[in-house]
Amino acid sequence: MSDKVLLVDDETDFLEVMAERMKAREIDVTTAASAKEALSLIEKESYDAVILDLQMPEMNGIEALKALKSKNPDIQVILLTGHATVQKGVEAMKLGAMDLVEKPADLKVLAEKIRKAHAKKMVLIEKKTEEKIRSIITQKGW
Amino acid sequence: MAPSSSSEVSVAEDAPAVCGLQFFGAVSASISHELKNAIAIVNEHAGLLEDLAALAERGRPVDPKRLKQTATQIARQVQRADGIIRNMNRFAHSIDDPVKTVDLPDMICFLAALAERKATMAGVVIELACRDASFSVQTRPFFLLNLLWLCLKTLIEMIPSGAVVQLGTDPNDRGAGVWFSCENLDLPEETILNAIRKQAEPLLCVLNADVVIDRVTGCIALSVPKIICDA
Repeated sequence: MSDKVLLVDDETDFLEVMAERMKAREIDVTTAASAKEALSLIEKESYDAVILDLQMPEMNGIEALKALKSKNPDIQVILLTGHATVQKGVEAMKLGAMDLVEKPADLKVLAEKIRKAHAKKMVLIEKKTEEKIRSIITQKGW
Repeated sequence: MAPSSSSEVSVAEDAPAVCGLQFFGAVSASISHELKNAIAIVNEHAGLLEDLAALAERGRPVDPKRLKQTATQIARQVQRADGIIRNMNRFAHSIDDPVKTVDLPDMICFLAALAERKATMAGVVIELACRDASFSVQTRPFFLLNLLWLCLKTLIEMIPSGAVVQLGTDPNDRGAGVWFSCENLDLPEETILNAIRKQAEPLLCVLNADVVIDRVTGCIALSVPKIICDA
């Protein structure tokens, strides 16, 4: 099963070429040119990872991260930034980002992080399924 | 009289320099972010060419149209980065002459270019209303640019997303006026004016400039002398 990614950046040239390269690596990628568009997409679809630019017009990456996490606390977000600083990294992690990658990004590194996000999501799903089964067993008393 | 040590320099004397450093930092940071975006796109196109070359090595023909398209997109980003660096260079040289005769409409256009990213990030559009005719004032160019930036930055930060800021300049009896106008104000003009004055006080003082609300037009109007007094 291919990794399903939502790529969010206001630079449409960047979105197009990055998406093309990801597709060539069999990553199932959807693009959004704004945080608002991304928020609307995650309501309809489930993604293994959201790759989110930190500096975007109107709603920046940190605000978008908070909004994404409030809609889906399990969502795996990788932030893209022009200048990765320790302070930014710590802030992002505190808000629940999975990772922070500096632009220009190495696609090999990014693809590896997407795989890790997928694995993390699977673990979370398994854990939730297990909890659900345990809850059903306890309630039904089988 | 013994020369004064640095510790004796008062906050007021230091204030324009502090403002200037903050301005320099803010503009440099904005430029570096813009450059990073252009570089990131060039990087992805270089990666795409590598991908296409790898496919060609494995026997899959490369469409020349795709290569041309990539070359065009790289050239566009190079042009974009070149424009950013030109502005950066002009900005860096704005500190060269403490006092200089400057073309004000030209400075306003440059200000709009420097503030474009900040405006875009806030969802604000800058519209220039500069007339073709040029006119000049003898002033402190770096501090004047700093003052204009502070006015525009404060306005951008205090108006709602989607708003349009118009700015222009006209010669007047005193020297020259620069005006900033926005129709979608949520706040009283006085609140914005006070916010500008609070931040720009040292610059207004060093430039012998004044900022008021134009009662006729409702614009924020900045006035600078034709020739700075102590030049």
